[in-house]
Amino acid sequence: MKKSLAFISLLIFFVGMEFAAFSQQQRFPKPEFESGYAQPVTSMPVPRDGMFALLDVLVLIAVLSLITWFILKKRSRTGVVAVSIFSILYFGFFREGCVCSVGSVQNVVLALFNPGYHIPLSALAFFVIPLAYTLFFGRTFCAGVCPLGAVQDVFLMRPVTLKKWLQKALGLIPFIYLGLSVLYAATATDFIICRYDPFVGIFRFNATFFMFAIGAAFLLISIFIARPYCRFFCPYGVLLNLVSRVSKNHLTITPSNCIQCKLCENSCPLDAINKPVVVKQMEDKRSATRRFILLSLIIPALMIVGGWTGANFHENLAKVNSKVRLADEMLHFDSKTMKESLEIEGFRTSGKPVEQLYLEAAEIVKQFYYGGWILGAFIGLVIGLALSGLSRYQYREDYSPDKGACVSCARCLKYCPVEK
Amino acid sequence: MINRREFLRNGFRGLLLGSLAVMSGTLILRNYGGEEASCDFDFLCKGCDKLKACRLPEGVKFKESK
Ligand code: SF4
Ligand code: SF4
Repeated sequence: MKKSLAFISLLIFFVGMEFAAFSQQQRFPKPEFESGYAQPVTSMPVPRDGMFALLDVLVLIAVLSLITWFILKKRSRTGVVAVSIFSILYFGFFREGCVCSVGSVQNVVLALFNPGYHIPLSALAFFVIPLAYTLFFGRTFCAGVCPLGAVQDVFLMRPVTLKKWLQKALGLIPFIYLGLSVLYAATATDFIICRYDPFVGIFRFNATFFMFAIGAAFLLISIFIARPYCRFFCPYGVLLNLVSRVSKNHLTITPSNCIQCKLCENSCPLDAINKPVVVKQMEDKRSATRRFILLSLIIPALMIVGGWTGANFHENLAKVNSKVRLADEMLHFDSKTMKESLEIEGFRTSGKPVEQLYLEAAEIVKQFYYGGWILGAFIGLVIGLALSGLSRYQYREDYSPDKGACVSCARCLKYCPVEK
Repeated sequence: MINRREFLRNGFRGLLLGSLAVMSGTLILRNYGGEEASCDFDFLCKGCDKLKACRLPEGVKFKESK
C-alpha cells in the first residue's frame, strides 16, 4: 500500500512538472520564410532553472547511493530493477536524456581546452560523481542509474554469448569513439556523442527516422545481446571500465568463500565472470624477455603507424567543423556556374572579411593535424595493449567478476548457494 | 598486510580521486573567477535563465530586440 502510494505521488509530481514545462513552451507555429530557410533542429532541451539542475544532481547522488546499497549490502537484483525503472522515467523520459554522464565527457573536454567556455556545474557533477562512486564501489552507476544502460538492460530476455574474439574486436570501438568525441569537443567542432545518441530521440519522442531506426535496432539487439551500446560504443563506459579496475569495494559473486560449485559460471549475460586459472609453470626467463622486447617494439610501432594515419586523415576529420566547411565552400565557389548556398549568403551578409574566415579555418585544420596524430597514436596504443593482454597470465582461485567489464547488474548473485 | 598489487591499486585510486578533485576545483573556480563570459546553451537566448545578467553580444542583442 505504502509502495503504491509513493509511486503514485511520484507520478503526479512528474506529470505536474511536465505541465509547468509545457506551459512555457512555444505554442504558436514557427514562422515559415519564403527564402527556403529551414528552422534549425534544437539539439538540446530548453535550459532549465538552476534549481532543476541542482535537483538533478541531488537525485543522481540519492539514486547512486540507493543502488550501491542494494547491490553491495542487500545483494538485491529486484532493487536494481526498481532503480533502473526510476532512472528510465526520470533521467530518460522526464529529463529527456540531458544532462547525461555519457555526453558530459564532451563538456569537460571542451572546458579543459577552451578557457572561455564555462561548463554548467550539473554537467561537471554528472561527469565526476559516477566516476568517484565507481572508484569505490565499481560500476554501480551503469547497473541502473544511467538511463541508456538501464533501458537496454530491461530489454534483455534471451542472452546469447558472443565469441571472445568478436567481443575483443568490437570492444575497441568505444575507444575510437571516445578518441573522436574528445577530438571534436576539444576543437569545439561538435558534440558527436549527443548527436548520435541512439536513445535520446526515443526519450524525447522527437527522433528523426534514421535515429529512431538506430535506437530501435539497439533495443531489439538488446533482447539477445546484453547492453550492446554499453559494451561496444559507450565512450564514458571506457572511463568507468578503467576506473572500476581499481575500485575498493567491488561486488563479489559470493558473500563468503567460493566453493567452486560452478553454478554462477554461465550466469553473466555480459560474459564478465573470470573463471579460476590453474597455477602455471613459470615461463622461462629467455622467452619472457623475448616477449617483453617484442611487445615494447610492437606498441610504439603501432602508435607511430596510427598517428601517421590519423594525421593523414586530418583534413577529412576537419570537414565536420562548420567553419572549415564554409571556408572550403567559399574557396571552391564559382559565382558564374553555382548558386550561393544559404551558408555563403549568411556569411556575406555578416560583413566579415573572407581572409579572416580562411585564417580561422586554417588554424582549426592545424589543430586537427595534431589531434589526428594524438588520436591515431591513442588507437595504436589501445590495439597494442589489447594484443599484449592476450598473452597476459593472471592466476585466479575463485569465480569473480571482471571488475572492468562487470556493470554490477547483480544477476549472478542469486546463482551463488553460499550463505553469508 | 597489503600486497604489492593492492598497494598499487590504492595509489592509483588516490591519484585518480585527486585528479578529479583538482580538475573540478579548477573548472568551478574558472566559472566564478574569470571576467570573460560564455554561453552554456549554444546562444539559445530564449528561455535562458542567465539572460538578465548576460553580457555577451548575442544576449545583449536578444534583450534589445525584445
Ligand atoms: S556503459 Fe555507458 S551507456 Fe552503458 S550504463 Fe555505463 S555509462 Fe551508461
Ligand atoms: S553483476 Fe554478475 S551478472 Fe552482472 S555484469 Fe557483473 S558479473 Fe555479470
